[in-house]
Amino acid sequence: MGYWRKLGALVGKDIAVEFKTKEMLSSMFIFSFLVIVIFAFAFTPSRATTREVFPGILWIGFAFAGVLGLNRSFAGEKDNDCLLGLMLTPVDRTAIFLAKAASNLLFLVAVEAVSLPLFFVLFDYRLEGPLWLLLAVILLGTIGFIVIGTFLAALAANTRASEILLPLILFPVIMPVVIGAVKCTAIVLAGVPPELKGELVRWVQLLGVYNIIFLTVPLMLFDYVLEV
Amino acid sequence: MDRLAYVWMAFSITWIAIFVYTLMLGKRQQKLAHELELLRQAIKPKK
Amino acid sequence: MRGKAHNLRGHNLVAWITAFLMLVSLYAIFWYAPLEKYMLEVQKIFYIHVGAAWNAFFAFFVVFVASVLYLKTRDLKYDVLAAASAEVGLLFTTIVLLTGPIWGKHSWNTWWTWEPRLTTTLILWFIYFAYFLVRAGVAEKARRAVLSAVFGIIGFLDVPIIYISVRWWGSHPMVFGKTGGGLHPMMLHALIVSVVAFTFLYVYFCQKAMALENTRQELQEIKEKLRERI
Repeated sequence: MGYWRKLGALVGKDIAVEFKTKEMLSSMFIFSFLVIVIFAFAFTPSRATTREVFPGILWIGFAFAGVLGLNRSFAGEKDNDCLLGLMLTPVDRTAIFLAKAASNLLFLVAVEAVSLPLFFVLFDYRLEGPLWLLLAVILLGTIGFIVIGTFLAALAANTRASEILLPLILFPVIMPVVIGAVKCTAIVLAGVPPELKGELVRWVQLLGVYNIIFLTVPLMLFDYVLEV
Repeated sequence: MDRLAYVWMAFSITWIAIFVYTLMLGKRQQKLAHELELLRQAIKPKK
Repeated sequence: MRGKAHNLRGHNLVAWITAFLMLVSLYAIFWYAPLEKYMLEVQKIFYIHVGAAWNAFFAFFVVFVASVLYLKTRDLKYDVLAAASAEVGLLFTTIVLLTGPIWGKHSWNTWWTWEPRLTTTLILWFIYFAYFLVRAGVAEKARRAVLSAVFGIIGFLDVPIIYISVRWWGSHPMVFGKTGGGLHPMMLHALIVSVVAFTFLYVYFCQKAMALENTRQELQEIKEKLRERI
């Protein structure tokens, strides 16, 4: 089997598991739904100030739901020593990392796809900019969140209180992603005014650079995290 | 607040932080010395 | 503990130099350096603030280098160095975060401004606090060393990106540059003395923390050996 076929098989395994148990997707979705409702109560949706914080609310919802999913992605493998089985599969360790990241990305994107319209409906928000740009920006931010998140989830899975530890070690590290993604989203939501175009490009570049760095560094270091 | 109060506050906080850390290290050392003593006691009757 | 005595070579000397330099820096800060025109005495905070900040970043750089070296060589002494350095770095970061707002309260009339350097330091504090959480979460020595080294590398690589993103994010105009452009040469001398004094303090603490950790590990080993014999 080629490298990509193996990768596909690993992703397929994660998806199959998820379809059997349905524990990750449903809880992630319900959680982001809850975040929407809580924020709707905290900030009155009809007020103008709410429009300003809307991108932030969006990303808080995604990030929290994402952490929930990431926590399960490796902790779930610890039951019945599945992680050991995974490591014994005759594939390159990087394939395991990439496959995990890909399936996590898939799950989070699925959750976002459902909750994004909900965010818009419940906050009565009208999109000004082009939809494809919004989706592209959200995808870019999500990739950044997932690559480093998957890596740190693998790291945290090896510690004692991994479920508590993950958000504590992940959130400081993804601060640039959060800032960049919120800024990008805010600009796109405002309809990309010409004077902010340069800023949008700059933030997209920052997210791009972040994604590249934190895709390559974990690939180099993943071997160390998995060794027992 | 007086200007000097700020200066006093900043410097005293810095020195307190340094002092507290020194105390922490000292405490760690004390604990080790205590353990060492316990070990010595444990070995003694055998010899 | 004779075997580990080399760890403390020159430790007393470093202690005396540190104490001496700390006194000299106090002298340089309060008597030698001239009063600043606008901030007057409050500007004196700048010397310890920068001295601590410089060494906090230096400490985290050492964590990074030691982490890389550990993963390369698997020599536990680098792990001990990384842990000690991160600890002292956390201390200095705390000092920076406490003195910064005090200074800011006077200059900007607000305790906290989301000034890029201060904000980056805050996030840095969170990252290295997380570093200790990682360490605390693993009991086995070699495993803890590997995981914390990996996190130390990730955390350090993140710092420049955090700084850039925070700087771009904060669209508030800065009230003034921290150094205010031209620094009076005598102020510069005082600053250098202060930075050097803090560097020696860093070395002193680092040595001490490392020696303690080494001793603790050695004691642990002896205990285990003793237990086996019994």
